[in-house]
Amino acid sequence: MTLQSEKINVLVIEDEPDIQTFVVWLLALEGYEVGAASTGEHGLEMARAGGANLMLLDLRLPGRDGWSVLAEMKRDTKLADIPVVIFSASAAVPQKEKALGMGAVDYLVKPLSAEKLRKCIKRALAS
Amino acid sequence: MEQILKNKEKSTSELLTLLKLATELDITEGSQKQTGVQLSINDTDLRELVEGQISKLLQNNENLELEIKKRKRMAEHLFKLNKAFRTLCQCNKIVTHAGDESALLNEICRTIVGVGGYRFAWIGFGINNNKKTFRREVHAGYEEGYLDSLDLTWAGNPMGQHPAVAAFLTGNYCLINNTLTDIDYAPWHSRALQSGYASLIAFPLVTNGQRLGALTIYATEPGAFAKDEIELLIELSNDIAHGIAVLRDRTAHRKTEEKLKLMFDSVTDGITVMDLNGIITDTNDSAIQIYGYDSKDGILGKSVFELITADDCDKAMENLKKTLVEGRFEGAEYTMVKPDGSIVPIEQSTSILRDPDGNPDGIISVTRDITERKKAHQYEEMDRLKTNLLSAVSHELRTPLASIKGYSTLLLDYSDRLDSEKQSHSLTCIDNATDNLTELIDHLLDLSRLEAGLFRLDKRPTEFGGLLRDTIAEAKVRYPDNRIEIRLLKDFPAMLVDGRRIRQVVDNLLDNAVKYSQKDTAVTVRAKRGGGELIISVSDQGRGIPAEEIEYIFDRMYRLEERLSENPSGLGLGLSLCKAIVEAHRGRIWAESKVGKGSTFYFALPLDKKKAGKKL
Repeated sequence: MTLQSEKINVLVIEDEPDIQTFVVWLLALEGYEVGAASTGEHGLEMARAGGANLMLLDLRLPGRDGWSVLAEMKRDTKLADIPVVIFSASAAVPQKEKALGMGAVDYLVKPLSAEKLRKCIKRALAS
Repeated sequence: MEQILKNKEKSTSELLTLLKLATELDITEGSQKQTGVQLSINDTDLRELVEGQISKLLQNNENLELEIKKRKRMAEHLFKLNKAFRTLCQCNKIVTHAGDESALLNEICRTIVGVGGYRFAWIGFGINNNKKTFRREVHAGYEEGYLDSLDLTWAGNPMGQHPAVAAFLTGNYCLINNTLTDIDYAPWHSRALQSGYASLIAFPLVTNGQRLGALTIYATEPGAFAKDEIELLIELSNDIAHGIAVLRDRTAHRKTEEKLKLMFDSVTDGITVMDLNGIITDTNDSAIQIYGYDSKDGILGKSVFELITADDCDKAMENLKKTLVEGRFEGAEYTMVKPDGSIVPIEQSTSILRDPDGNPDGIISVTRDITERKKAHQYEEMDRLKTNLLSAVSHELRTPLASIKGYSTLLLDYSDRLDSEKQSHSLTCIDNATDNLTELIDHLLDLSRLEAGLFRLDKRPTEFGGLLRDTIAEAKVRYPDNRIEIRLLKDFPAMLVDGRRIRQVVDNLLDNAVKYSQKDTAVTVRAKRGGGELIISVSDQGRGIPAEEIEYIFDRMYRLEERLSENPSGLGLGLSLCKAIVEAHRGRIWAESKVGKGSTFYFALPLDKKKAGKKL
């Protein structure tokens, strides 16, 4: 199956339904192709299915958490090139440093305005 | 002696008779008529005989006098020897009964002078200082400043030293038979003459090869110290030296004992000595204090296991066995019951005590009250949990705030491109997030009130059945996909409760039950009476709680970080709040659970006895 469009594909992994919906709507309104998962396992499955240009990843997830997903993304050579942006409710500096150290391209702290999220996605895709 | 005197008397009277006879003979030579005896004056044989007899008798007399003198000297010698012997006996008695060294030496000197009949005696010690002073310790008898004039040291060699120092240095006695003529005594002789010391002898005081000093004895007559008397005095000085050594040993021993006792009682750790069965035989002051007793009497004879809580006895027994096998066991922690019933955490290390043959003889333990350490550890733990709580609260605040910020900026930026359904959804999300925030803040406020002791109930007469039914009805709306069943009493007694708070408890238990259950399983709320209580239970068929965790689940701070990682939403504050609310109603709360089968949470409220059974 080939991609029907030239659209950039963003994969969102977020367990809070309201926040997931907000991100999905915003990205869709901005013209991105959006895939969403509520668990780490499911998110990785979708990433392996291919097509994702960017991953937006929450850290605190039920079961396999964001840290584990990030590590797996960077370990798996097929997935390592997909830029990962962390989207977390933890503002702790060590967390941010750890995530960037593990290969995340950016670390966003909730709450976040629609504008900030937009800019960040563009920046991440440009890098 | 008497016999000798009698003999002398006899021979003297014989001599006198003969002399008389001779005189008479002389007279008869002149006038023969005056005597009635007819003797021939020309009998030269007779004259020779008489003269011979006289000279014989004179010789005998001389011999007898010599003999008498000899006997007298012997008698005197015996008398002196006897005195020396009595001195020795008396001194031995003193040595045996002596309590301290200076009293011993004083008494010895007094006895030598008093019983021995010597003019003067003193004892000096060679002191181990820079000057090597030979210091006089005690003296008795005629002294008159003599010792002050000596100023002795034991530096240098024995030649030319005072006899006392010479005896000390050589280890042999030193005899001056005549202070006037003995060249060795020349330096001190004038002073000695003044004091009337005609002869002297110094004996070394040596014990176990250690030189202590010397005993010096003075006599008024020259050559006063005969050989056998000296031997007795040597024996005497050996006994004195031995006496000093024994006393010094005893003093050193006592000092060591006192020092040990002082150390024993001044350590802040409790020291307990027990026999191999754990029966306490001795303790120091700190141990008495740690164990919570007033005096040692209360503890001695008790088993160490009596002091430890029943829960820890097996552990203590095990550690005692290990001590006996390995020689020591360190850092065991127990809880201990004081006589007033209070519980104290202690740390105890035990070592084996052995008799001189190396056989186990007892056990010594060092005990420390670790209440403060435990407290400090608890504070640290609380501090850590508070930090965790803060970061958890921050996380919990950010999640609803993320909804509010996200949807409001979405509405602002894209209002023209969002259909009414999406707009309405956005507003609902904002609304829900605001409610979540309010609830979170309420929880935190309740907890801080709880912590500050400001938690107050607003109790009113309440129709409990209605309260439960309303609460469950709302939950059914909240969880339309879950099966919530209800098994209530027909008649509820009148209850005086804070209805809002009780609803909070039921809500919380229901929320948990739903959260941890699959959608197709039932959550059941029951109410029943029993034991003067109204018992409410909420059961689920969810994943259950491991047994080791169930006793902690009502603790607010319980392993918050672990709970958070497993349970991403919610602070886990709910159950601790439920507990606080129920307990404020003088009720109780508990849980029963089986992993994989589900959990039941109970809370029981006491029924008002006066109004019990009355319907509202």
